[in-house]
Amino acid sequence: MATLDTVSDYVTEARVLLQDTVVPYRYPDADLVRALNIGLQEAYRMRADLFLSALDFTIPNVTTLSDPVPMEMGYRQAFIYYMVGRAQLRDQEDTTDQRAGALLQKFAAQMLVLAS
Amino acid sequence: MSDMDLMDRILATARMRVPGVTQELLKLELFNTIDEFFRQTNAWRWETVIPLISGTQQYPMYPPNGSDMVQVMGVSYKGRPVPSVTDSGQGSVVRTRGRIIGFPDPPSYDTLFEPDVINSPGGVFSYSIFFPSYIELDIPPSADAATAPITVLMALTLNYQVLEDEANEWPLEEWMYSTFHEAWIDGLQGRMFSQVSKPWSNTQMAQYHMKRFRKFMGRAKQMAEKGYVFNKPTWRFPQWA
Repeated sequence: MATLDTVSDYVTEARVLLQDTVVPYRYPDADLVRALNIGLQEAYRMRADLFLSALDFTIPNVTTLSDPVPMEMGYRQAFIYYMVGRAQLRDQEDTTDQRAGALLQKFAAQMLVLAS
Repeated sequence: MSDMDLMDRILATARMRVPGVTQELLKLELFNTIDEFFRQTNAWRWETVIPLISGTQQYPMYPPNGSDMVQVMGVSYKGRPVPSVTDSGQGSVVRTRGRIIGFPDPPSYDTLFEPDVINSPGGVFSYSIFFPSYIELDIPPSADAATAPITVLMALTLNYQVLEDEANEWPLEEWMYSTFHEAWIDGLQGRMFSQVSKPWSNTQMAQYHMKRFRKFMGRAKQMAEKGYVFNKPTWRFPQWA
């Protein structure tokens, strides 16, 4: 789903960019969920306000595909880029390395720059 | 028109003028803006009546729910202003409870700190605020004096616990939204644009809006002092001095 409400939405969308939509998957669900969690921690470093609630900061730790991912609407897409970029870091091909780097940079830019 | 609509006007305006901002951060910085505004201007004034009890010196003060007292602006008793202890000229008021009182023939030191004893030579009584939660009279009221209450005028601000609520549930009065709308918007934008490494960071815009915010605060302070009645402004240093 394009609304990116649950972990399943993020994983499905990431698989589209990874061209990994047919079972058996090249990238297991667990890897992508882990990438999402690491992305959330990375986002906290750059944009703590995304996790602010009253005076508390809560970084979600998602585990199952049905878990909700509480995130401001305008910043959800950035986590897709992070998941895809991180997943592709493990591939060895030179072209994939460049793509992975570009996607991780895109994630950081979306966190920090308006026109990104 | 409800308070909700008025607060929504501020939040919607800020959302459009600060693209990319998150809802919770917007609420926090709006709280900080309003808090600074009221602390600097004393523009939110509230009067409460405290009944006196014979022989009792200390009386708790309870600001309205969701608000904090900034300072006491004045106390009156039977329609007459009551002097504060600092006006009585009896020793130096210190930050902790009590006063330092000169001692004419000191045994080993020249001052004596009496934490629980406050002297007042004149007047019916005077008052002091050593902690913002209670008011203390220097002379315990007699049974006759306790037949009338004291009236306390306070300057208020928002209490931080309102952050648990939505911004349109904060206990602000309707007139404040229309009177201070521009000031709060400018303060909010100034605070937002001055943040580091955010999509909306903008030093120039931060300076512009904070300058306007300070101007609005200066004006609001004067307005509050004059009871929102049009008059000549009180004298003050120009900004370049």
